[in-house]
Amino acid sequence: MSLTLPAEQTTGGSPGLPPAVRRKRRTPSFTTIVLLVPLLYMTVVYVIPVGQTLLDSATEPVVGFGNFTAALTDPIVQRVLLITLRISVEVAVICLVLGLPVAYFMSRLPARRARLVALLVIIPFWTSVLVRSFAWIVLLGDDGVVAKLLSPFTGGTSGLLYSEPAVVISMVHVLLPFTILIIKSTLDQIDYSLMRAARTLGAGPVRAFVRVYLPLAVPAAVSGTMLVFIMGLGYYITPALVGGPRQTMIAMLIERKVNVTFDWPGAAALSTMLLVASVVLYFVIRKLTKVQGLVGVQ
Amino acid sequence: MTGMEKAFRWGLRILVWAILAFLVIPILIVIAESFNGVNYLAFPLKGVSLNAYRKFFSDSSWVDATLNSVRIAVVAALIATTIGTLAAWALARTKNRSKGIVYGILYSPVIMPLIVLAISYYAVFSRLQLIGEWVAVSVAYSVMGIPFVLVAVSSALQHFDPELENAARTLGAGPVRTLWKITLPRLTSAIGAGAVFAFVTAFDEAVIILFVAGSGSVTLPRKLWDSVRYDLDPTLAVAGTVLIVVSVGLFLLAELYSAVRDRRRTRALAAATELEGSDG
Repeated sequence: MSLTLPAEQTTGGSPGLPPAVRRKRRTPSFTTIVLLVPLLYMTVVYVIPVGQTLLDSATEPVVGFGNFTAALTDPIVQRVLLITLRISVEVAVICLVLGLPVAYFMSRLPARRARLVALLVIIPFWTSVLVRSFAWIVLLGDDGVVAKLLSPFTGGTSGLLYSEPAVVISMVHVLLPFTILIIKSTLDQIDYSLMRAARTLGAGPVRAFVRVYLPLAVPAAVSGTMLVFIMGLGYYITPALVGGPRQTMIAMLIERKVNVTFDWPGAAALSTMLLVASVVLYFVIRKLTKVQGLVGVQ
Repeated sequence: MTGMEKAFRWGLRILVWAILAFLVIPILIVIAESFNGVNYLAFPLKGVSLNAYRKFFSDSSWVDATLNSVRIAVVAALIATTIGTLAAWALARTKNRSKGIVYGILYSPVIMPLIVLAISYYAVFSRLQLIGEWVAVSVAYSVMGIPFVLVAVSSALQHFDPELENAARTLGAGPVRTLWKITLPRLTSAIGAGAVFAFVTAFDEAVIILFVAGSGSVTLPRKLWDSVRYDLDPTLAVAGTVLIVVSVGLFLLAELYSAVRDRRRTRALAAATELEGSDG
């Protein structure tokens, strides 16, 4: 058996060699065999399970778009979709407003100090979503810290728990480190000598910032905000813990359809809609900006 | 510097530290609550004690849940690391045109909403009677870890000179031996980082487990979730602290390791340059 030598594959640039010569070899190369292992694994344990759910949404109990029309005409689903969109937009916008100054500040610090400040962002980033939501139950509950701090203004010690502000605050807390890290990774690439050049050429600090820095920073901000919006759409833990019945989001409705009302086709249809929306938005971001993705932000 | 600029700088600094405090304080409060002296969650603390820790570690259901989490996460991380590393290497070396699609499939769990994964596994596990099987949970979690390993190892491979592999092959080493002896040893940092991420993802996961835990594989997050809705007491803060310490601790260890390694490498490089200098 003749295995392809890596020499031929990696130096690759051999421009003199016509591609036909390389294609002649019929035995699969070592790399192809190695590639098949992960591919097979992912197909069995990931593509098929998720694919089955997507398939069920259009074939159970009968083939067609029945589950989707049923879902979209259901007033409960409509209300939940509206709440989900509203909370996700609120969270994404607040994350942008709070994340941009922090990312800007971090990108201007000298490397060593930036690393220390980054720890304060990365530690929450690495802390479980469940634990952070639990923290807000403690903070926002009746007689909690926030209620006590606000008591001079509100006159009581009843907390914010099980309300939309509670959900938004907790979700911002969970998603903000993400926003900061994504925006910062792009801001780090901005060349500050451009700002200095603008100042030298007579622009004031505000004008230099608005005309030079912002146009370079906006794509980062847009992609970071949209990623947070996508992630917010599918959130389950946080709204389920700190929200009330009026803050039911789409993921909670899917859970209820599976566990309480046993409406599997309905759950599959909502899942398909959620997944399609996430994937489409993700590709829009990829097109709009050069952000590479959700991982590798450190 | 104009007065306005100075004011802007101070304003920014105060704003940024306030936001950082907003991020960190809730986590510190969870840790503080675990030392609470009374049997309910109160802040400021009413006395300091280790009662909640005693209760946590003498309650077999909490201890079992913790051990279960460790076991599930270790296996999930092992699978994710193996699969992710093989994939990253093969994708970096292959000329196959379906490369983009393979990368897309392996990366896609990152944008997959957890609830969709959760109900999909719920359906499959129910059909195959795998609900409550901890190995099945590990397999589900390995899928979430693979993208992290893939990204980490892929980016390390970009700095790896493929000529080293060619040299080994020319000298007669087979492809498996070359991968094992030449390539993998140079990727240990990246593989380690990916493995840590995969472990923490599995250790903290709290949505899929709501559907697939059954009674046989209740993890620490699952137990915490069940208890939060039932009764709030400092034992829950201990569970939260355990989750924080494990994830953040692993992250800090990984950072420390790479810092030490970097320093050693810089020193070696400096020594090498010196040698070269004395040669010339």
